[in-house]
Amino acid sequence: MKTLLLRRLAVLLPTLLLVSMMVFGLQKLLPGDPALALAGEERNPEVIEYLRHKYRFNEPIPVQYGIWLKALVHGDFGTSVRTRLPIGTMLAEKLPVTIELAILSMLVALFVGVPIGIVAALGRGTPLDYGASLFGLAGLSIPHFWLGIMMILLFSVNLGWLPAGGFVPPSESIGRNLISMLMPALVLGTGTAAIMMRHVRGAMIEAMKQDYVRTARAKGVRERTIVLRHALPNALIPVVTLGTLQFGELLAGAVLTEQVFSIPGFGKMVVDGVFSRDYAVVQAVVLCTAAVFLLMSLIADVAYVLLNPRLRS
Amino acid sequence: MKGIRMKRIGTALAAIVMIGSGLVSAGAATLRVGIQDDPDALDPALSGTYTGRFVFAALCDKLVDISPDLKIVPQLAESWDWAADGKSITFTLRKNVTFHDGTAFDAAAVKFNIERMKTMPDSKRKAELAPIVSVEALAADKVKFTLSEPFVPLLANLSDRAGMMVSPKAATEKAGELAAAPVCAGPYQFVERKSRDLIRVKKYPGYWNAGAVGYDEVVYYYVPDSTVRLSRVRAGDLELAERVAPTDLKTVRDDPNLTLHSGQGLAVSHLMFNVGAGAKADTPLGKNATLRQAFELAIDRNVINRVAFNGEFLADNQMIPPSSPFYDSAHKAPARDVAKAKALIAAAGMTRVPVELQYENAAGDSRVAQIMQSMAAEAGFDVKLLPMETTTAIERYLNGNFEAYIGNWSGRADPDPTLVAFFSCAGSQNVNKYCNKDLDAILTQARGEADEAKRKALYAKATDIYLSALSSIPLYHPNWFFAARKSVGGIVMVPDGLLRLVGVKPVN
Repeated sequence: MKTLLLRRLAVLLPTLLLVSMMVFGLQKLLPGDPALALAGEERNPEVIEYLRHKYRFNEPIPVQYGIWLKALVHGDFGTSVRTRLPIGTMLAEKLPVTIELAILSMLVALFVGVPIGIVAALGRGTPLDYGASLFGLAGLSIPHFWLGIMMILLFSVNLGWLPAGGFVPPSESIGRNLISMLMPALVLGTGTAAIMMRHVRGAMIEAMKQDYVRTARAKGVRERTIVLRHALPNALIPVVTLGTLQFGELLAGAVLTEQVFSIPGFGKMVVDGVFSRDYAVVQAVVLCTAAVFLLMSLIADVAYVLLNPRLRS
Repeated sequence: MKGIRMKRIGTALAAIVMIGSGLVSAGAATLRVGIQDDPDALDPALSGTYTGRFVFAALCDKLVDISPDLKIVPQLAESWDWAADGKSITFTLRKNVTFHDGTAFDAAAVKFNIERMKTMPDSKRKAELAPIVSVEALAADKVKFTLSEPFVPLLANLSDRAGMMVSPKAATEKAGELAAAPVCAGPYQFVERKSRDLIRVKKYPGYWNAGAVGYDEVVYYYVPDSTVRLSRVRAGDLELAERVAPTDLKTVRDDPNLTLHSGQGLAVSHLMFNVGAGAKADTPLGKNATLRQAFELAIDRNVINRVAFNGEFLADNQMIPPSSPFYDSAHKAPARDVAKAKALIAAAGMTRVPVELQYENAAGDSRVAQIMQSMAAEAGFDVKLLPMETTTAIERYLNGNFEAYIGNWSGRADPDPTLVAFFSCAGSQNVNKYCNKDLDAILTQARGEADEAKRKALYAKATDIYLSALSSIPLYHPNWFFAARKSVGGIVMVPDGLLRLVGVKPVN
């Protein structure tokens, strides 16, 4: 286990470096001069030239990359050229918000997807199963953006039960924080719940066919115990891997949900960063997402080993 | 048993609703405003966005302001005197005004601000202040600007960011931080900014007109989607949303809790043709004004307005909006005339005219482009659509790398900055390289003409010239739409579309 951890951690840094190089290189391929995007409507040539010089847009890409990397090693993510705000502070504000949203969505996915998956597997071929499949299909195909607006119209505008958007930090009030995150988490969790449901259903059907289930039945164990104690833990092993990887997806996929509910997460930060050619912002966000993603896959591997004794040797 | 469970669920739901409604009604004297974009740097010298100006309206008073009918009115300057030759202007400043850091606003502060905006390397105000040669503090409340040439539009320029005053102390001591935490002399002072989330300002007790400031606190929330912005006002967790989409106006009008505040704007959307910038000018439409006239006759501005904007904008053929006293009502937009358009094309010796239309890939421009494509086709124009991502589109536009381009200009309180920018030979927006010496002479004469009637006549002449050349076909002027809860009183719409907070107060 220790070797596995060390080996994976050793790969982490070079991978991040590679990701940063790729992002840096790719965004420089984008057409459109950031100095022009910054110069505003008047577009004074003198100002444009000054901005190019100030932010070193004129330098060769490897030099710009080197400057950026050097600052990063010293813990400096740079300053947003658009808003002149420090990117480190922006990340510190936004990363926890997006992570909270991803965790809550994952909880929604688990509490909705897993039970429906089990029910569908046990009632395979029955109307329950078809109902679950329909849920899965809908969950995967309904766009988050549309679902979000519909929920706002129903729960906020018509019923007045929930706030239509905005974010309350947990430091201000945990209750209001959870209420402000309820709809976004439901919306973002729907897709993952559908994926979970399909995997749990498949894994459960597989597990119920295994010898140990037959043996348990032969010994007269109650069906409920067979399902919950024998089949489910085995069926959940792939779900753990899936869950951790989906968590990364949730981080990346939060953009639209954040936009609909005006949640100040970092999904939107990267999109705006690309459009205004605010390279340092894009760079920082992508690097953070990649780091979280790599960390999650590391956790997935560890969890897999812990859950499956056969892999421990 | 079942009854008890239902009761528990009911209690839990009620608790959620109570906590939720606590969120909704938090802070009685707070005005929560939904804004469409996240402002850029909050320094008047550096700002380049409409949303930035929208927030500055709370923070930074200007030397002068504009009224709803586009007249220049006092703000930090109580009055002003032009020299007889029009080459200098002396302002008398309001007394007992302080910046948010408590320092005094006086002639020295004005001198500092104008010089700062003229010399800061990345200042975006250089062009607007270019005619000012020197600033002299005559007394604590008297300041004189000496100009290189008579320049009447200066006052209009000073009614925007160029006239906003920041604290010299803050700008010197915290130069690097000013854009993140501005210190001005407006009704509200800066509290905090969470990037892409909110900007919070609170009432400045030392404001010179503090009695007219109705809210203790204003929070600007960044809510990019207009439908969501409106939904949040309807749900009551915002009091006001700016820039409501024309398609959502019916919802606002039908909601008994809301008031729609609308007003004519200064902005214009126009179709620019490349008539002289490089290879892309070498097209039938780029070379032949008759074909451009045919194009104008082939499209119906009213249809564009009706289909793309529910008829809520203002279809028009001039760069200057009808809200301006300099609008020339003699130049009416021609009605659509396909037969005449065809005849003009035939007179130019052609049957089908190819044109490549470039635009920023946003919903409004895309719809306008598609509608024009289908209307122009009936007259004989084969319009090829070229939608582009914004930054790329802007770069191509600035390099004159287009045949035809849908341009969106935010407009100015005075005609000069718009007409000079687009139609003078050296204009900053003259990227399609249109040049007419007569028009140049008229525009130069107009900026030095103090008499409004004479100035109006000069702009009428200018309009005549640019509408004959049609290097650009103005299409429509967007209007401003704010949706506000009925509880917000005192909103006055001004053509620059900014929410002025003095006088805005909660009503029952």
